[in-house]
Amino acid sequence: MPLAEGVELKEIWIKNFKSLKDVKVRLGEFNLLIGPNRSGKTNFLEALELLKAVYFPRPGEVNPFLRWWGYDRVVWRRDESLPITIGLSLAMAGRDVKFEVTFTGIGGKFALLKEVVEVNSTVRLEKVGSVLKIKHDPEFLNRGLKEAEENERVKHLISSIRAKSELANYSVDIRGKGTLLKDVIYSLTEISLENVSILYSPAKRPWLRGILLLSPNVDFGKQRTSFIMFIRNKLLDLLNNILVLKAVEPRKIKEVVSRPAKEKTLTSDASNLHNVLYNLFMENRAKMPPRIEKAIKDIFGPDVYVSFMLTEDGRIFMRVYEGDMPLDPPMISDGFYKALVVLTAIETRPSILVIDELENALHPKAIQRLIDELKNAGCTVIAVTHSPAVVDIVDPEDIVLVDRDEEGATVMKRVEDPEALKRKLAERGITLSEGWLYGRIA
Amino acid sequence: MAGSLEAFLIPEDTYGASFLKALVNRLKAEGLLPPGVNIVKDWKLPGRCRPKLERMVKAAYDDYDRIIVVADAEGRDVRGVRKELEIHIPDFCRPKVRIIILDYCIEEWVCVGLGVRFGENPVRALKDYLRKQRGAKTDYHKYMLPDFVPELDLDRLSSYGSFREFIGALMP
Repeated sequence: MPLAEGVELKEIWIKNFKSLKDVKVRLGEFNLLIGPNRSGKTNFLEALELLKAVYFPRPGEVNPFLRWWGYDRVVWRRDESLPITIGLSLAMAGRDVKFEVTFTGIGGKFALLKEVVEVNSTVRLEKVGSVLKIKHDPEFLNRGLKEAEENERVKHLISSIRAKSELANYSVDIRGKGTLLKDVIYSLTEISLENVSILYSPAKRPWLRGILLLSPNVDFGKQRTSFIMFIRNKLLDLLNNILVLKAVEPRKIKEVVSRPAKEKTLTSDASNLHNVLYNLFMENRAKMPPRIEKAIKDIFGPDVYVSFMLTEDGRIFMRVYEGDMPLDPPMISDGFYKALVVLTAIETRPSILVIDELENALHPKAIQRLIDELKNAGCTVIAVTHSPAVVDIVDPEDIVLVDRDEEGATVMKRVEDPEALKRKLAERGITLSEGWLYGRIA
Repeated sequence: MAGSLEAFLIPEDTYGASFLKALVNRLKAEGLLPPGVNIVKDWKLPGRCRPKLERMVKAAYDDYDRIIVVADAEGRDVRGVRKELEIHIPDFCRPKVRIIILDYCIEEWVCVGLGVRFGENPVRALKDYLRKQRGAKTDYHKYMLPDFVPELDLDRLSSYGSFREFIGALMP
C-alpha cells in the first residue's frame, strides 16, 4: 500500500551497512540519487531491502544476511563486532514519529538488538534485548493520568499495574519475547478515552506483566484508536511494502512464460513481471490498468497495447500488439519491458519504491514520462541514475548527491540552497547536469 | 504552405503534452484551428533549472514554425514566471517562441471547460468535483487529463485568457 494520506517519510539514517558508516538523508516524495560509481548509491537501496527482510523475511529465510553471503559482507569494513542500525523519521497524522532498529549477524546468527518507537512529546518505547523501557513525556503523562483517573472504567488500572510515580520512566523485563513492533505492541490491550488511550498487559500474557503506557489517540476511519497501535500497523505496512528494483534484465523477463500464480509484488529483478501484471490485468476485468495503458500509448505509440493469453498447457503469455499486429518477445524492445516494470511497480502501490539505474534501456522521452509517473505515484520514490539527461529533467530539490569521504564512507547531501543554485546556473547559462558533472552543486 | 503550422511544444510535464495534443486535435475537428496545424514534437520543460531550455529552443529553432512553452505559475506571480523563462530564450529565437503561463496548472483549463470553480487549487477542485458530482470511485490522477478533452465546453474555455493565448500561438 502507498503511504497513507497524512503519512510522510521524512528522513532515513543508516549506520554500519556496507559503505554507509553513518549517513542521514532527508527525503521528499521523489528522490534522485546521483554520484560516481562505488559511492554507495546501491548500498543505500540495499539497506532498505535489508530493513524489509528484517521484519518480513522470505519464506524459509532465517538469516537475511545470507542474501549477501553473510554478515561480514554487509557490515562496515567487515567488522562483525559492529551492529547495523536503520532508522526512519516520519510525520503521521500530524505527529513526528521516530522508528529505529539495530541488529547484528555476528557468529552467523541474526539477532535484533534494539528497537525504538517514539512519538514526539508523548511516549517512547525502547526494547533492548529482553528489556522494554517506557518513557512518557511528563506533561503528556500528567494530562493523560488526569483523564484516566476521572474515568470509572480505567482508573483502577493505573495503580493496580504500576505505581503512578514510576510511569514517567520505567523498564520491564519481557524475557525477550518477539519484536517490539510485531509482537509486543500488538499484544497489549487498549482502552481509548476521549484524548488518550491506555495500553496495558493482558492477564493472559504474563510475560508482559507490568506494562502500562499512555498514548495519544487518532481517528482512523470511523474508529478512535491509540496512536501507538496505529503507527505500529502503519510501520509494518510500510516495511512490508518496500519495493526495491535492481538488476532488472529485460532480456531475462522476455523469456518467462510462467504458470499463473497469485503474485502481487514484483521481485527485485522483476523476473515475475508477467505474473504480477497478469494479476493486475485480471483485477481490472481483463483490461490493463489505465495508468499503464495510457503511459504505454504515450511512450510507444497510440496503437500499442498489452494483453494476455493462456497457452495450451495453461501458462500465461503476455502479448503486445501494434495495431492488429501481434509482437512476440523477440520483436519487443528492452525499453518496453523496462517501462512496463516501472509502471507495474507503481501500480502495485508500494510504500517506498526504490529503482536502481532508472535510465537503463530507456530513451530520454520515456524517462520523462516515467519520472512524471513516479512523481505522481503516491509513495516515496528513491531512484538512482548516472544519466545527465535524467538530472536535467528533475528539480534541484529532488537530488541527493552521493560520494565517499577520505575514509571510504558514503556521504549523502542535498542541495543546500536550491534557489541560489538555480540563480547561479541561470546566470552562467549551464544546466543542472553540467553543474553536477563539472562543478559543485551541493 | 498557407494555413499550416508545425509546432514544437514544451509543456510542464508529459501529461500536459498528451492533454494539449488531444485538445489541438479537437480544436481542429471543430474548426477552431486550421487543419494544417500540427504539434510535431513535444519535450517536457526541464526541471526548475531552466538553462536547458535555451539549448532546446536553439536546437528546435530551424525545424519548426513555432515553439510553444506552456508553464505552470502554481500561484506565483505570472509576470515573474514569464520573466524566469524569457531569460533563457535567445534573442534570435524570440520571433518563433510563444510562452503561455497558467495561473496554477493545466487542470485549471479542465475546470474552466467543465464549469468547475477552482479557487487557488484546480487539482483539488477537480478531485472534489469528480467525487461529489460524478460519484467517481477512483481518485483523479494526472494520466486522466486527455480523457477530459471531449467534455470541455470550448466556448467557455475560449473566454479564458491563457487558453486564448494558446490558440493564438497556434495560428499560422
